[in-house]
Amino acid sequence: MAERERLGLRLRIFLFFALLLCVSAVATGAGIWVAAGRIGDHALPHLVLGAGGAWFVTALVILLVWQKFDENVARPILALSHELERESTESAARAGVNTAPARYLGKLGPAIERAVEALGQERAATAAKIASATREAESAKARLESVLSELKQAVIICNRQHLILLYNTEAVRLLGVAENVGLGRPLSALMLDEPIRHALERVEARYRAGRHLTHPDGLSIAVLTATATGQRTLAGRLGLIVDGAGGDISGFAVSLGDVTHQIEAASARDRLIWDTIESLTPALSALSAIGELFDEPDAPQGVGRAAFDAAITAESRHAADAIAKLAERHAGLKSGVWPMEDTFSPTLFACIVGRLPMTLRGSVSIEGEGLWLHAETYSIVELLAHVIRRLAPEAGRVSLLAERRGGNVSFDLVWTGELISLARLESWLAEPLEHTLGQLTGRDVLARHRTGFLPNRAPDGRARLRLPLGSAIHDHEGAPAMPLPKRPEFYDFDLMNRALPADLAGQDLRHLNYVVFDTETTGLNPGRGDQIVQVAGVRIVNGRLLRGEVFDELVNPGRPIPAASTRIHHITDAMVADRPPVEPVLRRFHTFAKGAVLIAHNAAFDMRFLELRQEQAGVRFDHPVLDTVLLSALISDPADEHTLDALAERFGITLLPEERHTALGDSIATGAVFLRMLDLLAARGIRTLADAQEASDTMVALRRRQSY
Amino acid sequence: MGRSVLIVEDHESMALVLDHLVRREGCEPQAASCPDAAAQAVAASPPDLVVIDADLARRSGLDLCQSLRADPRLEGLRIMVLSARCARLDIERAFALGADAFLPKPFAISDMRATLRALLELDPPAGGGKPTEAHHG
Repeated sequence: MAERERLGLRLRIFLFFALLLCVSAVATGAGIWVAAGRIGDHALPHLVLGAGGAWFVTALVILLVWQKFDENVARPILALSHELERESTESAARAGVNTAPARYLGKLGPAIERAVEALGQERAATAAKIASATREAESAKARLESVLSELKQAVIICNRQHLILLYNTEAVRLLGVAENVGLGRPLSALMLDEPIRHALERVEARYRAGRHLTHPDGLSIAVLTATATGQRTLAGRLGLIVDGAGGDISGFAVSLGDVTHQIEAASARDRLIWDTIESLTPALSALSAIGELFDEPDAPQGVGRAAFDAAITAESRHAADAIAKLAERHAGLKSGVWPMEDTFSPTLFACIVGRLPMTLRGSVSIEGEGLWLHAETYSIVELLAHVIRRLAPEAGRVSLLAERRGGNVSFDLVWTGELISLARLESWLAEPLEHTLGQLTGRDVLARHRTGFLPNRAPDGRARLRLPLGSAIHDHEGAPAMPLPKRPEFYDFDLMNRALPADLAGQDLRHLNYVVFDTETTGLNPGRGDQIVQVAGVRIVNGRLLRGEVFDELVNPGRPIPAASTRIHHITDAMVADRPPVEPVLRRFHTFAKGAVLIAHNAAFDMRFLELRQEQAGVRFDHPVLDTVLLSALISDPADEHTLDALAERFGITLLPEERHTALGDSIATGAVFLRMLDLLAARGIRTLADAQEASDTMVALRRRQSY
Repeated sequence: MGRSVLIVEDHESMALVLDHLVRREGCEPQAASCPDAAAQAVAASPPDLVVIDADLARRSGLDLCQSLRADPRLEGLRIMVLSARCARLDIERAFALGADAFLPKPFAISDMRATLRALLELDPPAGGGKPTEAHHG
């Protein structure tokens, strides 16, 4: 439509000058005709020549004026209107307008400059006001974020439709399915939803009946659920979120911790107790009954007695075995009652040294590598500090080190000189430890950890006091599955009142969920066997690009990556050697992109690669797709370039150098470009997904025609 | 001929004790170490009383209790259930499934004697104290 208007203006001016030309031609002709009647035939050729010459000069002047007018008035007006249009959409705001073409338009150029400048100042003032008004909110938000990210409880807030509005780092770590944790995603993808619904039902009933006012738990309730895969048991509380006192219920918050180990420990304990009861009861029942019988005056005698004697022997042995088994199994149980936690040895060593008097600190050194272990850290620190305080005066310099032994981690105190005698050690362990609750002794701490000190010599001949402890329960050695950005966008309360969009086509483009993605491949010909080597994507929810919710996986393409391709994406054969094949990655990406509109820069290329492998992966990428190349063509000059770099530059999007030309970096850039385009699209009447798809289809048809 | 008592108990020593006690009461003991054998024994000659250990290894003694009670031919049969699981619920369940008496394990010999006598409607022991050989002789 804009195209037609632009041509229309210049065409109309051209037609005006053409009309002048025609009128002058007609006037000249008419003049000749009238004059021809009055003068003689002999003068006619001179008249025609003179008048024709004059008209020709006039025509040349008209053409010249038209050309100058077109160049200096019509085109500059169009250029200015285009500049103004861009300027008027805030998202494309740039440094002033280019008024150079308007140099012959008198005061129009300077006037526009002043207007734009005024607009700029107005915007700056508004932005400053908004900035100062939001600064406080921002700092409150930052405080909330830092509190949430440090919490060792997973916190998730959902709206009434059970869509996630907020989650913290611990939620990502605990629930662990990177493709599933995300704003606007259903809670049921993360955990068993039924216990949550049940708890909600109860607490909602409490709220509606007004019982929350007197109930000791108010609007909160205990929940016990499990991760969606059922691998971890989660326990915590659910709290109802209501709009003001007595207002509507707008959502709920859950805080959860992993109780898998506690529950396992508790149930192992229960099992052990019951097994022991089951095996001891019959034996003890028989023994007590026989004992009673023997007490009676008519106690069995002779042959009858022998059977009872044999039974007594057998049952006593059975009971002794049961007790031995109990002791053995009890020793193997991890403590589930004391607040044991995984901890890193250097942290503990630093705490131990910190507990020592200044005079001793210099004589303690820390050796070896850091290891993860499972312990009740406070009491272990107190115990080791106590032993070092006793040991150091006679041992001189003492080294602290952690060593892995089988499934356990040992803390070693090592020094040069004599071994410590067991008697001395026992006397130290019998002393109450400083600063501990309830006057714990070293022996209590050892019993709590089901361990003890072993005095022996280290392989290098130094004296050693070894304390075996349990190794960590969780795996801390591997890299985290998903590196989290420093300030991730973990929440969006604007989603509070939004349901899952049922009909995507009619939805406003600003309210849809998107996954902007990019693939890197071995080459450009999927039909000739080229394969995906990387898939990356980033989510856009509620008009925000969520850099914290990304998908980024390398794929083993099952064939060598040509050097020419490696030069583009810097992915080498070695980098993908131990990566999964494309199928599981596509399945995960499919989950990541569930319910979203896919966006890519030159989407046809990436979609072709996805579609070629989707069948093997057992998924279907039947999402609605938008292409930023086509969308850009809809809103720019025909001459503008549509490369991602050009678009990023035009929209003033700065990319970190290390992000450029990586699948994830390009996805983020494409996403940012797309968000900037929304206003320009809306200015052209493209507001819904259906609008965008229809316009894209028209653009595809147009491009196809042009290429033939 | 005394009353007949079927003892369903898979723990040998306990079976020995129960056998001894039943004999001392002047009754005729039969033994079965599993519910199936017990069902057969009941079918062959219905006893006056069945003493069932509820904690049998393979199948719950309470199952046996229930199936015996479902048999209309065994209307006069008395059933005593023994169990180490003696929470209120376990006891209620035993009675609901047709037990006439429930004795927690371990039990006192005197309680067992008293229960046996009550269920078999034997004469109480002389003097109300501990039963003696003289009384049954």
